[in-house]
Amino acid sequence: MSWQYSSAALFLLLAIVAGLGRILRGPTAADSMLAAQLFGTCGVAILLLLARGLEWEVLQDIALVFALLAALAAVAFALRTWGGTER
Amino acid sequence: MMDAMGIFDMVLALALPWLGWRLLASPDLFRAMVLFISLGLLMALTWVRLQAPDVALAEAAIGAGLTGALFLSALRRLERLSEAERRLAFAGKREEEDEIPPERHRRAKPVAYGLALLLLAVFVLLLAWSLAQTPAGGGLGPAVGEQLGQSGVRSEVTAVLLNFRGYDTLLEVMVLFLAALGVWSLTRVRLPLQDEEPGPVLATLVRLLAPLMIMVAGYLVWIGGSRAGGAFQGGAVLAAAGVLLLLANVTVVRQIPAALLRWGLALGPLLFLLTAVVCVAAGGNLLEYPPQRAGAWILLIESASAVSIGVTLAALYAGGRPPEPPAQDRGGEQGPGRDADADAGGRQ
Amino acid sequence: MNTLLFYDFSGLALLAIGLHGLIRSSHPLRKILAANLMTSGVFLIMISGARGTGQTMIDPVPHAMVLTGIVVSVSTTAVALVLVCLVQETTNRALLWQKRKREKWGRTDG
Repeated sequence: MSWQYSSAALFLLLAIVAGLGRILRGPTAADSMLAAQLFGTCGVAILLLLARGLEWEVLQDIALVFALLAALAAVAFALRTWGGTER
Repeated sequence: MMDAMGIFDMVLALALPWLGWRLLASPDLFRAMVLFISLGLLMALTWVRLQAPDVALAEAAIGAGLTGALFLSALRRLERLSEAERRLAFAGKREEEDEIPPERHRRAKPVAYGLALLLLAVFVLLLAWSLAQTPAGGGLGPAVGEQLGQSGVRSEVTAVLLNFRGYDTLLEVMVLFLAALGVWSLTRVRLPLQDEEPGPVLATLVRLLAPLMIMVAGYLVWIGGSRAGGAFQGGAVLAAAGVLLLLANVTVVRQIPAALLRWGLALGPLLFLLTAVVCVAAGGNLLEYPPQRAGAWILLIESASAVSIGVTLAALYAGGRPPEPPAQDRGGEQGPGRDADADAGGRQ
Repeated sequence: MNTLLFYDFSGLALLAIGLHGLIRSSHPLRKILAANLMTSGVFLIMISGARGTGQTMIDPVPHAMVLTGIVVSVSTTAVALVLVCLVQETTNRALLWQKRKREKWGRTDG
């Protein structure tokens, strides 16, 4: 795998790790949830980079499922956590 | 030599336990759940690095999507109890200054806790030791590769799941069925929290996303024959579509007849059992398909199982058996559907 | 140096942390989270052990088992969550070991 792909993937992973701090510290519940959503986006990007870098098409399927299902947690959050409580 | 992917592995491998630790140490349950969802994502990346695309697909569907929705909804349900319970459920620092938090109380027994830690350490050391003793290589990879030709599919994992070790999957489908039975026998569903129709954003999202999810589910079942994918992944994505519809409180979901749901739950297990019996009756072993037509059998069983897994997981999310068909008949204490909903609205 | 070896230790650590949390935490939801961490750790160890070393092939059997395990663990989690909700609704107790709602913590040890 060429170094461009792998270092870009590493950068995105570090972005995820940095975002973990936002989940832990984030003043409101929405901050935490948005950080988690950002992880979903980063994860999709990492998977697509690896799919290209390793020429492994299956990873595109995983990225697709990821992109589809990440929305589910966001919907659950918006309806079940944000909707009813004052937080 | 440590290239970028090596550092990637190291960061990921360190992040997983750290995340797990912070998750359990977090005083706020909601935050713990968000961390858990993130952990699912990192696990999926880990499976990719460990060359397990099938597992990664299942984790992406279940770990990152379904479990998160499950936990968030359960937390909400617990929260809707009295004010005191809500504080405890969140265990927020500021809110319970007047009461001794349970964790501090627990720490009052240092001997028992120290003993537990010691046992834990011994257990982990023993595990690590036995892992180190396990010879590398070996395994059943070559054996599966040899027999792959007569399994009817080209994907090794699917071949193991539905042909070589089909009984595992049969029992697994039964476990899911049992879980659904258990939940259905415990309570009735009381999902609809709002009576109104979903807002424009949610309605559009559902309109766009739900058909796409169902299509991807079908695609995953189909592609499972030749590469990563299969009944579990397809079923999980299907369940996600169901959960989305349940969350959005779409009217169509409430109008699904209970009988149809029951058949949906039972379809996979029934067909699987029937196949097993037919295979034995035809003189073979349990789930020993005729080699020429194994591919067709596997696709049939996988499709039925995917539907059942999807319905089962969505039913587990709903958390109870469907409400009585005529919603007006039971206007009593725990009225189904709209009644319970209006009731809940009044209390808040 | 095979960096995939890290994941073995990672799985072990997850298993230990999960077990610790299962014993330690008092809120049932947290216990369920801890049990889920444990399963993740076990899966990680299994898959990590199944990887191919150079020439040898990947062992697909643990992959299939973990796949089954993931679905089973999500279904048990769902059942446990329903049970927790029911317990709390019928007993009005937020924590499993707590005796009654209004009692002081110090006296509820049981």
